[in-house]
Amino acid sequence: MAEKWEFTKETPRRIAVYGKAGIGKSITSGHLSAALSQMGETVIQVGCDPKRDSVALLCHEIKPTILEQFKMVDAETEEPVEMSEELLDKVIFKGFNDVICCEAGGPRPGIGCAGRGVLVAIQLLEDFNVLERFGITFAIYDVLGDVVCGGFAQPMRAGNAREIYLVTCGEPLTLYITNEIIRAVRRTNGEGIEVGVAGLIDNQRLMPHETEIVEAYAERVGVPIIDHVPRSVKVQEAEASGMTVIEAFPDSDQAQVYRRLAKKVLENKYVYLPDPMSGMDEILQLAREFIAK
Amino acid sequence: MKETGEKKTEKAQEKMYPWEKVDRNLESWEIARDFLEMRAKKQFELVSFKDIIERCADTAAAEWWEKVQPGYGSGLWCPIYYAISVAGGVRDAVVVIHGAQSCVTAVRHFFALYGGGGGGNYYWGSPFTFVVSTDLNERDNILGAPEKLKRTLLEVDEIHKPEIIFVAPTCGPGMIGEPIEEVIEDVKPDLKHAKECVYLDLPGFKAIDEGDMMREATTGYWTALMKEPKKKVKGAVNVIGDYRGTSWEEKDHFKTNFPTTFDEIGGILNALGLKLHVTVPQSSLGDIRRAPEAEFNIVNCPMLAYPICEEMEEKFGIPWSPHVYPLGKEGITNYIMAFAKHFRKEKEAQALIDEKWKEIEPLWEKAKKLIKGKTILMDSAISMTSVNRQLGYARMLQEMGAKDIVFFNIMPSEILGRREGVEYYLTTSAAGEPFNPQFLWWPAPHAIKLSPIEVADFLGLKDDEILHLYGDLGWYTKAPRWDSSNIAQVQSSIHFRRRRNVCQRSIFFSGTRGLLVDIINAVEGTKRKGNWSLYSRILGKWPVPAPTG
Repeated sequence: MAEKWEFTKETPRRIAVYGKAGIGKSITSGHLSAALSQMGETVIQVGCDPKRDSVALLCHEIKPTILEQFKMVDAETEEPVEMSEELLDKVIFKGFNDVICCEAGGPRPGIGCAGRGVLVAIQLLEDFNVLERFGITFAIYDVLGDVVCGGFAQPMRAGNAREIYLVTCGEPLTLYITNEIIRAVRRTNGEGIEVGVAGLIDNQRLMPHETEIVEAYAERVGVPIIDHVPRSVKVQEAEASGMTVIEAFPDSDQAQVYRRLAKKVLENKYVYLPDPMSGMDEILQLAREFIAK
Repeated sequence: MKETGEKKTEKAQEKMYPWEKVDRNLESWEIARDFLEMRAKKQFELVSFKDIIERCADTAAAEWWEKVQPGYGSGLWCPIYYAISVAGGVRDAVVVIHGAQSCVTAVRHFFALYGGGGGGNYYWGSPFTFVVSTDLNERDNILGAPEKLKRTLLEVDEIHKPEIIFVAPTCGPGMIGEPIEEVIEDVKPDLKHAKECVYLDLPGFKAIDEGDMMREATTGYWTALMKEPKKKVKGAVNVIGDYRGTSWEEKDHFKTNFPTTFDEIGGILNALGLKLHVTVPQSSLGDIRRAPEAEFNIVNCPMLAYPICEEMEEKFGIPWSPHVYPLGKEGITNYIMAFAKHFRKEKEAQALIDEKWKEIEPLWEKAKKLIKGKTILMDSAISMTSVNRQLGYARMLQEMGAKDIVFFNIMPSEILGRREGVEYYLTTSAAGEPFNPQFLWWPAPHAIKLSPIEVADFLGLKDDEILHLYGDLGWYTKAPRWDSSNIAQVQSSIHFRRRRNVCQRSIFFSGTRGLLVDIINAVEGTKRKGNWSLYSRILGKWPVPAPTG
């Protein structure tokens, strides 16, 4: 049985959302932010991905990033411009229902170190007391796909988020990445950092036996499923308008699903230290148990 | 057949370096106690030279030391050091380190200590090397800083007016994929003075062993600067693999009673109707470019020279000789005959050797008598003292009739790091016998240096049965009775044992003469049977500490 403990709810409460690339972390994070803001929380969503598309639905467009400010140089001297509160605030935006939005950003594609960039961007938010100044009560760090390097693991490593939510689905490759992230959480925890997995968010792909596969995986590793989020065309339609479902179709069933998810996250008191499966072979075996039926 | 998991693990274990298998559970003090206990019990072993490479790869020494200071036992280096050490010594060159200023500081400290050919060391009398940095910071390592590199290259070109610029990246730019080659191509048309701008793709994080580092720092870069020769220069011979070549003398007007190796080899070549063409790599760009005009290559430092010679043979068809450290009649003869044979000058060469040897012979015979029956203790070789040089001395001593030559305090990483040179010595002979000294082996040469006293005691040697050649960092001063008035001692480094009119590497005829004089003085000096040295008098007895607790 995975180790479980009740975490201390601090203000602001900080969570990180991890998962395989393309699984819907930003969509999930955006909807969580929107729903939590409607529940009275003052939310900040920090996009920790050089793709910089995390807050696009909340802000209705792609926004400039923290690292863009960081790389600014003086037009005359060509020397870097020292980062200031004023400069940083230029890339902090109010999105839907006053959700505070910002993107870490990254270097030019092909060169530089995005991982270290994310680390610096998060540190700048701390250095300039952004969460305190904006009266944030709930912070969501939406982190790039796999935990590929130390930079992207920073939200959990530096204690920015002690509560990790893993967006997943019934596809074996996605579960494999989920499993790898669990390993990273264990490793970080083993270093004395009090971080744990709060649960899985099953962002369904409409594949056969998906619910059973994810439930079986969750049981094996010893972590709860926060919610199953069914696939809905409403999400696509809202995205086409540059909005979340909660904004575009507030009375839809899907909006209710996200509100239910947000409520569960808000009410959650526990985190776990799951025992990951041995690897891809075991995950495939698990999937086959259901697909063969 | 499919491999089982267990077999796979076994295979992986085999591939692991000894220091990767280390159990780190023991505390450092426990390790130290183990070392001391083994030392007190004299758990030493004499290993034959022909088994040395295998023994080094398999030794427990790295394992032991790894427990105390993880990483040290691996012998891995930041390759930028050596790349700059070589490139920095090219005449009218500037090395640009694309990295933090502190990397330049570290490299310059290294030069000052190590003595490599960068020119930035006291040994060469010129403690300065043009090494500049692009002064990178965290921001630059995240975002990349090609603009800074471009600006620096243009500034360096403007201020220093170099003939050639080398660009060496540190870990940060190396890891983030900085487009250094693109920047160089972009900036080349705007360089007013530098005719070449070379990217040394050896960032520090590659961390390779010393031998690989030397090979990587020499392979590709130097022959790429050479031009296809329009004509061959008759009788021209290059000296490959030494620091501060002929063009430096010309530039610095550096002529003293401390002649260079090139003075001596130049004289030998001239006497045979041949000529010293150029030295590579540390000479001017012009010299490097015209190196392929030569008909033959000879070698100084094997580690630096072998890769360049191999490439020049492949690319320009220039034959070469692998002989190094010509000391003693046999060593010198082998060295000279290799190129004399190529030019069909064997007779002239033999006559020259015989004539020159006549001057040396009385000293040789005298020294030979003095060392008769003595055991040669060859103490310490680290990267600064070079085991290859000491092997050269040992080979000459074997030729002189020394039967027992014992190396001690030699780190496995030193042998492995210089294995190409070591492998060369394994193929050589002395006085017609295979060259085969012995190595005193125990598991902790990285950690604890043995005193020559305990080695002598282990071997059962009396004071007058010893000739002790100590390296740059010999420990003799702490050994109470180990005084030059009692025990024959010779400094084996070329850095400290410089003699007037002996060439810089202390090789060939002048080097042999110098070494013989030192041996004679050392042995005759022991007749004094004087007092202990100042250190000895202060320190008193130096017993081997027994483990406690």
